[in-house]
Amino acid sequence: MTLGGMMKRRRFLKILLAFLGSITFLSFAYSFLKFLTSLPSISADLQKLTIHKSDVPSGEAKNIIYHNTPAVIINRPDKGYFAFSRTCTHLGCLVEYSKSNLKFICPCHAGIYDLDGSVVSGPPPKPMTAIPLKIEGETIIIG
Amino acid sequence: MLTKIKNWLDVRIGLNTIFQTHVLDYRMPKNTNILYTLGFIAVIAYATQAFTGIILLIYYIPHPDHAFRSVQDIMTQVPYGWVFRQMHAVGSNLMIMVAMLHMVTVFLMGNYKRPRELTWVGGVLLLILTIVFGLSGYLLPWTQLSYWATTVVTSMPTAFPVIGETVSQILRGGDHVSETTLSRFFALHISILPPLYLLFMGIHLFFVNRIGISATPFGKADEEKRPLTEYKRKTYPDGYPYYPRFFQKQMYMMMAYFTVMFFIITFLPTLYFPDEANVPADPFNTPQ
Repeated sequence: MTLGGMMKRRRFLKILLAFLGSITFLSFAYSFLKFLTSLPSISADLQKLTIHKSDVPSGEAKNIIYHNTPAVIINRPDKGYFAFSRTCTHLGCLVEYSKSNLKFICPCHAGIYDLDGSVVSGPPPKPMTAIPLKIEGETIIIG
Repeated sequence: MLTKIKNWLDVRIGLNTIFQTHVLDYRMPKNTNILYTLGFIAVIAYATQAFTGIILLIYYIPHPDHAFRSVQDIMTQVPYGWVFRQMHAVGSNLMIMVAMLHMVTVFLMGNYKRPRELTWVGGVLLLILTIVFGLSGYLLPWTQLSYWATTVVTSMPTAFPVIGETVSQILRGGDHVSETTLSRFFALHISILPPLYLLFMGIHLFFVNRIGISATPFGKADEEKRPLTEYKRKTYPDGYPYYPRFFQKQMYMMMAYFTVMFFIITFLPTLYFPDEANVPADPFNTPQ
């Protein structure tokens, strides 16, 4: 075999080794990344939460836990029931309903949302996350 | 007895030669000041954190149901537990301050400049590691303060486009700060960061020694201005000996470091412990 042929074979082996090495590295890196991300959720996605209407009088709000996440359900005299995640979209603190101001206020960095969940002022980059609900008779079904 | 041990070591590993070369014959530039000891103080601070941290490990339980109680027990039940916990908590704040002060003084005196770029980059990485140490340790007492501070900090990566959410998820191990977060922060704090820090500290000190210590910009300038064409270690043949002159400065500063630490522990024990630091974490209630 000529020297040129040898070099070609050497180059081929280098590329092959680099390819196999990269595949090995990527497969470990991928499984490591998956290992580090969140554990699979134990809660059933279809699980719904039911609350009696009388638990949330008109103009009042009630803090609930929905899918292991703090949430709030509010009874607006003009528009009815709404549910939102209480997690502030800024840095994850929990917002509180202020009955006197008719707003949701984040205690960490003074982010303020209106009762539709839209940002009124402060640093939150997006509105509060709404949770779907429906009314069946005297029961509110969240989720 | 001590002489015998020294002689025993000397004939085997040349102890006297090491001492002579690296301590007695090692010369410091004449215009060094007290700020040159800050790197040494950062090493002392790290050693203190490692020592007190290992002691705290004996009683600390890294589980949400027990972490807060175990830290309270260290503070109130374990004999002298409060000393080691306070040293660790106050020391962590002081360590970050010392590392930052070291960085600022090095920057202001221009010691980061050619040929010491690598030393500077290594130092910045060490400062980042120090801050990550602080962040990961902050959650461990599982108090309202630590829980919500960690919630805020681990939400910060979400501001980055594309990878932000994934980074946040990896940090927390889920959507929220939970027992998974506590476990991984504990692992990070006690088994991943310490060897990483030691590695970078070794690299940083290697560069300091290999490139040669820099003089201050005060007094006569002696750094060469010509382009770098070959490796040349910076030495100061007419400088002051490291021992005892500079060593003495280091000892003064070490005493000053511990004086500040114990002043805070004695007279300002709640400086780093507001009310929320004494309330167990409540994931459903953000403190006002």
